[in-house]
Formats: sequence, structure tokens, C-alpha cells
Amino acid sequence: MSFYLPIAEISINIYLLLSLGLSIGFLSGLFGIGGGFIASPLLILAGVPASIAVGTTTIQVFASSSTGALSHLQKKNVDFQMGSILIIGGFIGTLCGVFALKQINDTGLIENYLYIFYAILLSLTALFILYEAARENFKKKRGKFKLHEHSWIHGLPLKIKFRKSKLYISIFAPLIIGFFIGMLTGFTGIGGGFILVPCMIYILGMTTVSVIGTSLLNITVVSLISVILQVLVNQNIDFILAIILIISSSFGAALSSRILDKIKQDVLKVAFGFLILIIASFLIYELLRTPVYIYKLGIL
Amino acid sequence: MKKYIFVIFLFFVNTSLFSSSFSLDKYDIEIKSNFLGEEIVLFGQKFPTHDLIVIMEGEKKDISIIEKVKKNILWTNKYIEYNDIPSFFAIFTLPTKSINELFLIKELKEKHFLISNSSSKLFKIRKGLEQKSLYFEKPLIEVGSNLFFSKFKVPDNINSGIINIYFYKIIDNEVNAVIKKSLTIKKKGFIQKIEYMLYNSPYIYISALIMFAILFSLLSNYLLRKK
Repeated sequence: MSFYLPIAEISINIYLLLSLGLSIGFLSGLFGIGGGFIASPLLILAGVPASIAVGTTTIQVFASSSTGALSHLQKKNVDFQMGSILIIGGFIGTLCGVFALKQINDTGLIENYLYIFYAILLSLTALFILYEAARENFKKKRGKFKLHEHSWIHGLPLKIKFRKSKLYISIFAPLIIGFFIGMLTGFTGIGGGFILVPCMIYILGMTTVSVIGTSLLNITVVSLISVILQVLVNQNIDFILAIILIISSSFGAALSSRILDKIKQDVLKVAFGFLILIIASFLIYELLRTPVYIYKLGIL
Repeated sequence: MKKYIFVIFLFFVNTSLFSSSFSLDKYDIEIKSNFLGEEIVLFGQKFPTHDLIVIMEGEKKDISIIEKVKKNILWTNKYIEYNDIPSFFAIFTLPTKSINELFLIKELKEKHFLISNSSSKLFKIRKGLEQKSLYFEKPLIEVGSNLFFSKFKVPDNINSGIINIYFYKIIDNEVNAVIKKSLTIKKKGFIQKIEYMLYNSPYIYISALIMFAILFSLLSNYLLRKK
């Protein structure tokens, strides 16, 4: 059974879409991620136009992060001072990302850029996760574990006190990180939590208590800004695709929460690394294989 | 299905055919949420002295053609834009003619840009349209001694608008007579409202998206999460 997507202007099999949404929700629930960086490449691989996949993923990221952000707000696990600087950086980054997407979409080379970008991003992330998992395992065995070390970030000017996180660092550090994550959200549709959280822990040196809540608040607000900009600038959010994705991924996330306690965290981390590596391999294969059609048409 | 088509066929043959020489089983297509493309039957009367060519041409749009080019080991895209190109093009012939044979008919070349020459530019455009099922060449099938028919599918990715249908009677590679009709494609219902909202009331579209996203994520969180 197929369904017509009015903005993507294609018909897509409803069962394929539901299974995609379920898998995205299941994986995001299992690994504690927004799911955007899995959703966007998977939608492109399923035949959704690249620009629509990016835009629609943004609203799915917003939906999946907003409830988490709310629950952390209630528990007061959010560093508002840090969050607001991240959001300011994120706003500027999103603006740049959305307009970069428009520029590249207008040149018709969006699939090229996104495939290469996702392939590199996912491969690096997978390698980083696998490396970190191995390193933590090694450190645990040796009994030494230091959360973060002082780096060039701590030498930047305009330092302020972040009372909640007990930090005294330059505002440029969260501003730059926020900008980079915002750029990713605007350009690729992903929330960027899988990059933001390690950055907040290892680079900024935040305590793990407020990291998740602050990152979720940042992702929720930045993805909301991105949704507004994507609709106004690129008109690339398909309402029906978004509805199906949000509903099915919520079911997927609920399913994963029921089996999450039964799996060891170490195993999850390694599995997650390999999963990202598999998606990256598919994207690389798409770039290398001889295309079925040499000429492809787009209506402007 | 075949029986059904045959009944429509006979009905039209008896009523309107002789005044117009060809007909379609429908002239209006509505794109709704369950739209998967639409199969249409083209039928009419053939003449022993004439060759028949039916050309369907969609509204002209600005298009882009992305050509896959191999650079070292990677396949990359080469992007070209063209203006005023028919968004749908179909050719039906009786007896069957190749596109090279159509290039010999002067009136057709002048009237229809996509078959005006054998240049690589037009070849690329035809291939690009063909990849999206928006270009095809089909034979008209003879039924008995004086009738013909053909079935074709309007694909699900068709743009709304008007498709002009030209029915040519040809003698010695010259157009003897031409009849023009049109097929209308409209987006309807929820699909049309959504598209209208996105392009004309984007703030309402954004509000609806955000409201739905918050509402459903809260609801699913409340109903489905493990306590």
C-alpha cells in the first residue's frame, strides 16, 4: 500500500515508511539519541528527495527531544546560562546552515554533498564511539578515569562563571560549539546530540547531571528555529511524512524503553558504533556504484 | 478490468467518436492522498490512408537535468538548467514509428520542441523525463479494421496542470489534419490544502507542524513509555 506525499511529490510504501519510523524511534530510544542522523540518510536511501528528508527530519528531532527537555526542566537538570549561550550560537549556525542548504539545493548538487557529508560524519562518529568504548574499558580496568583535561578552550577570553555547572570558561567555547551544532541542524536536519554531549563533557568539562538536560533544551530550541527557517526558506517539510515519522518513531522509542534495562551499556555503545558504520557504508556504496539512471530530472 | 475498459470503449465509440476521431476514458485526474498514478485508455478511429500520431504535451516548466559523471572512483552530479520544457511528453504512433522517423515530419518538429532535433541536449531531457516516467513512446494497437486503442499511465509524480493532446493524421510525412484536446490534472482535498498552506500561509503550516509534534510526543510519552 502506497501513500502520496504532497510536498515530496512522490508515492511511498506506507509499510516501508512505518518500519523506517519504528526503527528510527527504536534506535534513538535504545541509544539515547534524537535519531536525526539516522532518519535523514535512511529517508534519502528510501527515495525521499534529499532536501525534503533534511527538512522533515528536523521536525521529527524537535518532537523526540521536546518531551525529554520538558522532563529535565521539571527535574531542574538544566544549566540555563550555558543553554542560552549554546542557543545563541545555535541560532546563528542554523541560519547559516539553512541558507547553505538552499544554495546547494539550487545548484542541484545537494545529494552529492549530503552523501559525502553523512558518509564522513557517520564514519568519524562511529570510529570515535568505538575508540571511546575501547578507551573507557581500558581505563576502567586500570582504575584511572579523568573526565576532561584543560585545553586551548580554557585559554579563550571573556570568561564567565557558570554556577550550575561550576565552570569558569570563556563564552566563546559554548558559542562556537552551539554554532557548529546549529549549522549541522540547519544543513542536515540532525539534532547533533551525539556530538554535543561529548563536546559538553570532554571540551567544556560540564558535569554529567546537567549535560543531558542542557543538550536536550538546546536541541529542542535549535530544531524549532530550524523548522521555522526550513519552511520559510526551503519549503522542504512534508506534513504527511512528518506525521507518519513522528507517530511511528514514538512507538519505536516506547518499544526500546521496554528492553533497554536488559542490555549492558558497553554492549549498546559498541552496537551503536557498528550500526552507524553500516549506514555510512551504504552511503559510500551509493557514491561508488554505477547509477541505474545517468540522467535525472528536477522540476524547478 | 478489461471488460470494463471494453464497455467504456464501445460506449464512446458509439456516442462521440465519429465527430472527434479519438477520445480518452477520462479527461480529469484528481490527485488525492491515495493517488498512485492513473491508468488512462486512449482510443479512436483509424483511417487506412493515414498514419496516426498522438502527442501529449504537459505544461512547460523550467527544469534541471542532473547528469551522473564519474570522477575518479566517485559518481558525482553535473547540473544543467533548461527553460520552458514540457513537464510530460508522450508519443503514440500507428503504424509504429521511431523518434528518428518523427524528425522527418516538419510540422511536428516545429510544433513540439522535444522532438525538434536529434541533439544531445534534447536526448538528455527526454532521458531525464523518461527516468521519472514522464516521457514514453508507445504504439497504438489496432482493433478490427478501423479502430485503435492504447493504455498509458499518468505517473504519481505528475505536476498539476493541463496536458494538451494532439491527434495528427499524416500522409507522406505531412500533417493532413490535427485535433486538439486536453487532460486536466488537479490536486484535491487534503493534499491540495497542505500544499496551499505551505506556500501561501507558511506560519499556519509551521504552527500546525509544531502543535502536532508537541501534542503527539507528549501523548505517546504519557501512553507508551515504561512507568
